[in-house]
Formats: sequence, C-alpha cells, structure tokens
Amino acid sequence: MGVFQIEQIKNQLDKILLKTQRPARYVGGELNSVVKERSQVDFRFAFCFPDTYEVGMSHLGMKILYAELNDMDGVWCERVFAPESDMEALMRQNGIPLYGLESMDPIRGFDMIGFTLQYELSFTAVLNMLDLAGLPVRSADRESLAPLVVAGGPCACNPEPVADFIDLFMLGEGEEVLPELVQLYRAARAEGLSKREFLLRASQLGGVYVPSLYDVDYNPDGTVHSVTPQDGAPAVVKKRVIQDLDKVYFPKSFIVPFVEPVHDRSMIEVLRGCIRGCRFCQAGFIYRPFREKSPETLDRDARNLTCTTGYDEISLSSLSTSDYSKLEDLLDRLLCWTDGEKVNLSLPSLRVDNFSEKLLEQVAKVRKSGLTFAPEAGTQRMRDVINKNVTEEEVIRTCTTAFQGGYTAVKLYFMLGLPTETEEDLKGIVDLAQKVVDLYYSLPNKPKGRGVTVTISVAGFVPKPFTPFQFEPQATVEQLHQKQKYLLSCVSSRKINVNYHDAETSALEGVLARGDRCLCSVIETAWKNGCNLDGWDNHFRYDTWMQAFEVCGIDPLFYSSRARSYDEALPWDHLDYGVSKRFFIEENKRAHADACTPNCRQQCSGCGANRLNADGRCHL
Amino acid sequence: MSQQQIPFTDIRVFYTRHGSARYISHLDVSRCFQRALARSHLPVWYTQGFNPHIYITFAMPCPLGYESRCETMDLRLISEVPMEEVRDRLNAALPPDFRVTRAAFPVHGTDDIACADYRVEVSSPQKGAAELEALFRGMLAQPEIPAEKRTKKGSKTIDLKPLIELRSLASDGSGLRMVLRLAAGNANNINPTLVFDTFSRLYEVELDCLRVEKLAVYTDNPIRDEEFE
Repeated sequence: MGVFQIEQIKNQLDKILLKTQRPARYVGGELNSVVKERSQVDFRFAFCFPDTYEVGMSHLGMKILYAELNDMDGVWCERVFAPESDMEALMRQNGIPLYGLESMDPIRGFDMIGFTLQYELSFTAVLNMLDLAGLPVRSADRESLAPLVVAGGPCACNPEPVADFIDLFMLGEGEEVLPELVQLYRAARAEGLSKREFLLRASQLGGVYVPSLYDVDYNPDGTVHSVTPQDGAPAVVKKRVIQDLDKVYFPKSFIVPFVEPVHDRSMIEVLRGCIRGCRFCQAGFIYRPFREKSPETLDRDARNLTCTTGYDEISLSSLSTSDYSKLEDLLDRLLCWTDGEKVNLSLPSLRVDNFSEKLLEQVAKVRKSGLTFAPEAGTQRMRDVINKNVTEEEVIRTCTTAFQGGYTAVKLYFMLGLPTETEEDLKGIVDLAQKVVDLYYSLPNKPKGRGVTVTISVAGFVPKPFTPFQFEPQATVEQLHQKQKYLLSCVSSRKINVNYHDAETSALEGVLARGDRCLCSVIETAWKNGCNLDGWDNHFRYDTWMQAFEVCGIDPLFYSSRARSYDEALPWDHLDYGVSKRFFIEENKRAHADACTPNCRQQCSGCGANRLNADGRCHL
Repeated sequence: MSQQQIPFTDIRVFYTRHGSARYISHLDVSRCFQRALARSHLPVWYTQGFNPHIYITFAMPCPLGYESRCETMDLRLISEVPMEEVRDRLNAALPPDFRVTRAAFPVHGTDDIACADYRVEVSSPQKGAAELEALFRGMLAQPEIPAEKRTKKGSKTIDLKPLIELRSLASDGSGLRMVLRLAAGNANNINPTLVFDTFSRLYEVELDCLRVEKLAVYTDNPIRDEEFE
C-alpha cells in the first residue's frame, strides 16, 4: 500500500463523490476523528459497522471502542460503514476498494477488521463489505494472519449463521478483551505465527470463540447433536463482563458527524443489564448482571462530552433508565449545569410503572417531544406471559400525568405473534389505545383546543436465543398478516394510528436469530444474488432470500416456526452468557402458566448471572 | 422576559472551506458552526424562542462540492471579545477543513453583494482540452446564453450572457482551468454549476465533476473591485 495508491483513492473519490447522496459520509474529517501518522503506528484496526453511516455513527459501543483503541500506543482504529448502493456502484465501477475514513487507506491492508453485529439483518452487509474490501468472504479462504476478521456485539451470542465468515468472535463486553486481543496479535506477528497458530492461542483468551475450532454434528432430523471443541479449545466459552463500570474506559470525546446521524447527541451509559426479565427481550438477559455507574462518573462523562462535542443534548442511555437507583441524584447533578449550557437531557428508556411525578417534572424542564410507552401486549394475561410487569392502571396513570403536563401525542409499542396469543389479546391492544384516547377527552385540564393522537406501533415478535422464548415457534408470515388484519378491524377511532413492521422482515430475522452453521451457505447465496442491508425496506428482497433457502435445500421454518423441546441441543448451548438454560426452561414454563416472575430487586430468581461477578453476587 | 433586552454586537467571521469540508451541505455546515460556537464558549447571543439556539447567518452559502476562500458567517456577541480571540477560539473548536481567517465588524450588508470570482476546473471524458476550450469560448461569444434556472417557484429561463465574465482561461492535457466572475446577490445569483450544466446541455458534452473554488465576493461598488466585508 504505497502513497501512490492512497493519492489514487483520494483523486478517484473526488471524481465520483458529487454523484452520490450525502457525500460527506464517505470522506471523514469530522471533529474529533483520530488521524495518526502512518509511521507512528504498527497496528491498524478497521472498525466496521455493517450498516449506513447514519446508523453506525449513532452507536455508543463503537464510540467507546474507537476511542479506547486509539488511546493505545501505536494502534490506529478507523471507521468503516456500508456504502449506500449509489456509492457502492461507483466504487465497484472505478475499482475503489473499501477504505478507512480516517486514512483513506484500503482496509485489506489492515491488521484486523472488526465487525459489530447489532442486528441479524446486517449479516449480508458484512459479506458485502468484506467483498468490497477485496477479501474472500469465507474465513477458510483467507489464509494469512492479516487481516484477521473478528466480530462482537449482541448477535455474537449466536454467531453460528456467520461462523464460516468470521475468524473469531468476542463474546460479551469488549473494553477489556479487545485490547488483550490486540496485544496477543502483536506478539503473534512478532513471532511469525500462522493464522491457525494465532487462532489456537486466541481461543485460550476468555470470551474468545474461534468457530473453526469446533465441529458441529447434526441429528438426522437436522437438529444439533453435538459441538466438539478441537485442539484444546474450551468446551464452553464464557462471555466477558466488566466488573466495575466506574473504572471502565469511557471516551472524553465523540466524533461529531457533519451529516446528521439517527441519534445526534451525547450519550452516557447509566447502567448495564436489566433487572426486569421481560421474557421476549434478549438484551435483558445477555447483558446481565445488572451494574450501575455512579452519578459522579456519569456527571464527569456528561461534562466531558458536552465540552468536546458542543452537542445540545445528552441521552441517558440504558435498557431501562428509570431503574437506575440514583436517577434523581444524577438528574439533580446534571440539571444544575445543563440549563446554563442550554443542553437538554433525554431519557429514552423510561418505564411506565415508575415514572414518578418528580421525574416527570425534571424531564419536563427539557424539550417536549412525543411520549412513548411499551406495554408490549394488550391484555394483562398476555403481559403476564411475557413478564412485562406493567398494568393498565399504570399506563392510564402515567398518561394522565403526561396529558396534564401538556403532552398530546402518545406512542404505544406492542408485539404481535407472542406465545399463547389469542384474538382477545389483539383486541386488547386497540382497547388500551382507545382507553388512552377516552382518558384524554375526560380530563378537565387537558391542553386546550388540541386533539390527541395515539399511535400503536406493532412489531412481529421474534424469538431470540438466550431468552425464555428461545424454545418457541415464531408466527409465520401468513399468521402475522392475519393478526395485522384482525387488529386493524378492531380500530374504530380516527385518533388511533396503527404502524406495522414488515412481517417478512421479522420472519427472516427469526430464522437468522436461531440459526446454525447450515445457514452460512444461505446467507452467502442471498448476498451473491444481491441481498444487502436487509434491515432497510428499500433494500430488502424477501423473494431473493426465499430462493436462496430453496437453492440450499433449507427450510427456513425449521429455524423460525418449529417448537423446540427443552432437551434439544441448541446451536448456541456451548456459549455461556451467565444466565443458565435451566432458568430459561423454568421461565418458559412459568410463561405458559401465565405466571409473573418478580424483578431482581424484589426477589432473586436464580438466573445464574451472578456467577459472572467476581464476588458471585449481584449489586442492585 | 428581561432576556429580550440583552444587547448584542454583530460580528462577521471570514472562513475557508477546503478538503473534506467541501462535501458538506449548507444545512450541515450551519449545524457544525452552531456546535463549534458552543464548544468555543464565546459569549454568543441565543435566539429567544421556546428552543433557544445560537443565532448565526451566512451571506452566500457555498453549494455542495465547492471549496472556498471567502465564506462569511455573521453572529452576535453579548460581550466584547477581541477579534483575534474570536478567530482563535473558533479555529480551536472547528474541524480542520474549516479555518477562520479573521473576524471583524460587518462593513457591508448582504444586499451589497454583486458578483463573485470562482476558479473552475473542468474536463470531459469525451473531448480534449482544446476542443472543450473552443466550445466554451464559442458559448460565451453567443449573443444570448439561455439557461434553465430552478427557483423555489419552479424553473425559469434566464440569459447568462450579461452575468458571466471570463477572467482567465488555461488548458492543459486533462482539461480547462479558468477564473469566472459570476453575478451574485439577491437579484441574479448564478454559480459555476449552472454555467456548466448549460454548457453541457447546449453542446451535448458530458462533463466530469467540476472542481470549484470560490475565490472572492465583491460588492456593487462602481469605482473599483471592492470585496464584500
């Protein structure tokens, strides 16, 4: 990779960029992006986000690891996003390989290429980016140590559908294992190890899963028979967790994009894990144990970011920010300076059941946008099944407070196709929305002269690994369509809007989420036939996917809509995310008995995640 | 509200945009400066509405893709800061491809803007530089140069002839390099993209992406070339 080539990429880009939509996405140069001298670095890392710039630049995990790697001596981490199709076509026409935004160097010359797997429907984008980089998509076809292709993120909890493409996965939180991996690589390179020799060594690092070191055998019916480790690789790979969130690395600055990303603001991470145990929610289990940052640390993080970015909004992010035990303390600390700096706070993940008046008052000091709640299901029975411990009274009470505080628009999130769901549960969704509408008009002190809008947003339920519903069959596309139709027929008020997620998208997500290695060939075929960025409606090609399943002789419903018995070996059973399979089985049984499970603060249910803490205890 | 009485002073900031900054749309440039001002902690005036934001305004925003030596942004300060300090604090807060050259009290209003000079590099995948030059000079020599200009109200036909002045032109192996003086301001604002879109349409030549740099903005002073300040 000579200087000549670099200049070539820049010159070629100048010829094509003005033909693309929002070219600023492809040139770097943003505030706080890190540019180093090539001669001063010996380890080049391409942090690849397999989605568009706007999505990737909204992602907190990438910001953390980008800054952390760049704080390491001699390491240069750069960002790479999936180009939109106009840019991709021009890159392919002009022979421009995928490059890092900071240096404009082709990433195929880097030491390590890391993908974050946030969403099953970004798998084809991973293959497409490897191909755009000029690399073979299959791990076995990349013979040399460099570039090593690694991946992490929530979808790494069942990495089997992409096991043939990725050299190694990092399970769990990356702040400690990624720098360790970099050092291991440097040592291996100095010793002249082969790729396989390095992978053998890496497999001994906690949290590292090298799929090529595991043989998977299948039963005649297609289910997994056994997963056998080779060459001393651990039989079970345990995910990594950070013990003390007040000591973990957190960036002092974020890159401030020119082009507006989805979330254009500072973010502080209030807590990790979740005490709730909603049975459909993968994040609620795979990020356990529950750990909080102290208000002092968070206040410091928020001040640093405000100072270095100039953002006028700070998001308090977590799976459930109102479960933060010191929320009022934190808000008091923040509000004492954010007002003066004209900075707004946003709390995206509040729960209906503990949205106190004091909290609403504090939140009301910031900009008023719409109010969103996620009851997830329409009847109490259904909410008990999914363990979403929210009652109708709580929804009504919170909406009352909100309407009296001036809100006139409420958005309610629900899921369709939940286990044991009946028509009554679907009708319950509309009934709940109608009750919110009626509530608004019954209030004497509602905002004057303004109507109310209640939006119902319904997503198809996707059973995920590492949840109590990992055994459940998913509703088929046809069933989802029927349910949508029925739901719509129940709506009689024009104050209620209904939004759907595409049923086909949910169906494919369901297949990939609980897939095994047999899906690698399907993903490769679909990608070769033009599938890419499947999470986007304008890119999603369901028919092409279905053809790929057919060509590969694989029935997608085997993965999505088949009920699994409790003793079936699941493709991800050799990965340990803390919560035990025994607990998921117990929870599944309780779901079918319409029984709730108390949250972790009320009573420990023995999920097993406490084993991940050094002292074996949870700190709630 | 007492805040409404806060007195302020108008300041004009002169800056350049080069490198990756040329790919940034005006809306994004505006947001970028808002944030740079927030980071600079300069005592800027905020609008007094429900969502206060830093007041800034741009005299003649650059189209996407153009580099520039002479952009201006006006802002308001609520207490006195030396002009050098305004410049330095903004430069410390801006991404590297935007550089503030100076700050000063505004001399002219945006109504005074009459024309601007651009350096343009243009080439064609089909035609050599000599042929391109002959065609372009030919267009300029026409008695009228009809162009379709898109406005907010739709498209209208205007005559570019009185709005273009060719200041210099050189051709080399790959294409043409020229300096054009084009009408600017509220009445007849045109830019090199319009000139070359028209050229491409009239002579049916395909052109590569233009390379444009805005060099200077002038007022309508009839006595001499007076730069907009």
